Amino acid sequence: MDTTLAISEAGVNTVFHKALAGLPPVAKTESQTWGPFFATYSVAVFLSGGTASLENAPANKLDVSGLHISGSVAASVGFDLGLILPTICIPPEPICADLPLVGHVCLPQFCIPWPHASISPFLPFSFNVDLSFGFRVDDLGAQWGIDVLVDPFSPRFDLTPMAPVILSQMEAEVTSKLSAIPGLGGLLSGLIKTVMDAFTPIVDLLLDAISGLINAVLKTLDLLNVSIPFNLLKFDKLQTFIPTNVPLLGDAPVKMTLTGLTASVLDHELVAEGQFA
Amino acid sequence: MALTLGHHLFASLHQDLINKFLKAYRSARPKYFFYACPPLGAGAPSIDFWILPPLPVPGTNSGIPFSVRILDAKIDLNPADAGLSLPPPLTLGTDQFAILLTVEICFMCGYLIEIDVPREQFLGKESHQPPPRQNERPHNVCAKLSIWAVGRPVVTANSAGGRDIGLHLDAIVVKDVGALESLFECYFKTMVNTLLDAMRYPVEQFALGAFGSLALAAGPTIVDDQIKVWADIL
Repeated sequence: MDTTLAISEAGVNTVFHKALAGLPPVAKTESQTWGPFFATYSVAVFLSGGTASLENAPANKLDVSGLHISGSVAASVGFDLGLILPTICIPPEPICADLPLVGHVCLPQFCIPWPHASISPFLPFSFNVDLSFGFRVDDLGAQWGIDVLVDPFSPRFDLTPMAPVILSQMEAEVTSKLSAIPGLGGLLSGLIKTVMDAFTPIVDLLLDAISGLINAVLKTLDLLNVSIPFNLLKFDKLQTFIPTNVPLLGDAPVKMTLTGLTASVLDHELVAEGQFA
Repeated sequence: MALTLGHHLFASLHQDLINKFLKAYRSARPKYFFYACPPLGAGAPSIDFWILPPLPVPGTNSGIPFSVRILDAKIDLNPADAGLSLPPPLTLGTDQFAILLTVEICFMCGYLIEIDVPREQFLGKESHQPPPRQNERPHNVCAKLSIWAVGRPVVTANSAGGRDIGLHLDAIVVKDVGALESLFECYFKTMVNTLLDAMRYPVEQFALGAFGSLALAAGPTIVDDQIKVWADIL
């Protein structure tokens, strides 16, 4: 081979972390409706950290342990209380009478206009994953790419700590909205309980939906997509060995073509070998 | 055995690549391999050949056209190839390279070009010196020389704040030129070192543009028919 390039595990860690830092933030938004409840939620995900190690040939693997996946969920959850609570009127039934000379007369009835309740919780999350990647060399047109392709994996994360946050925010919202209505008196606690009993099962559905969206966001990252190679290093096929005007003004560039490139792991180093024409 | 030796990066260039590079350099910049006074040059001046002034002829205000062309150049990195036979006192030692050159020197005899020689011009005003007689028809006289040299890799700071790696001759031998040997050796050592200086390679730019910023940590050193360097990624 004309040229050999070896990168140590420490060097691969540096390259990998530079590649992570260069990833644009990814986010996705979805909406769902469960009966009277509706929710819109956006998930943003960031990758960082992790420790890279190299598995020698024939495995030729890049293993990354403890890749940190962090992010946040910006949700908006709401419903019309009137779709859950019964209609409450004073008097409960219309009171009417036929009066001589006056005709049919009813006493005025006041029905409580149930308000709309909504919360916008901000829910951070983070978890680590251990990944394994295979190395490959790809023809990128004008460049050769040393790429990695992640092996199938199942991210495991637990969003249950979000449930009490959502429930307490919703209970505070419902309490606030109902407390502002005069005359409910002793009915208030019962009404709140009615609403929260209806809402509590929805939280599990919401968290399932958010989990699905996090998984969908992760799949949009080339690094974590099992069918899309992620570029670690690029080398121009046409390499400029001596640039124009060096050392003299008017000197043409000296270029050579990198016709082939291989990559493998030997002695826990990523070794690339290139052939020039 | 690990190649990086505690650094982030190891890179090596095999002698086959160095010789391909010489060919690429010659193809892109032919003038660095052909120096000629225009009557002897071929192609576009300053592109296909480096313009030389005529070689002054003592006692005249004229010079004779001459040219120096590198016909062939081959580099052998330590250890020596099986077929390499260096003339004494040259030996290919540790961390050294050998270069073999075939150079052709030509004179255009019977053809003189008037040149500026300030002092003699001044004197000439008082007693005009006739141009030398040229009885011969112009014709080229050429000689081919075989040159062997050994040297070592060098690293120097460049104007971009990085490092250039290059090669530099330590010793040279020009054979079969009789008493002129030491003169030719002085002349060609200077010429070849100037050529090698023009070929210095900005190491930080090496394919490793892929890595962003690099710092040369060790090398260059010549071993295993390769020039090797070590660097750290910043």
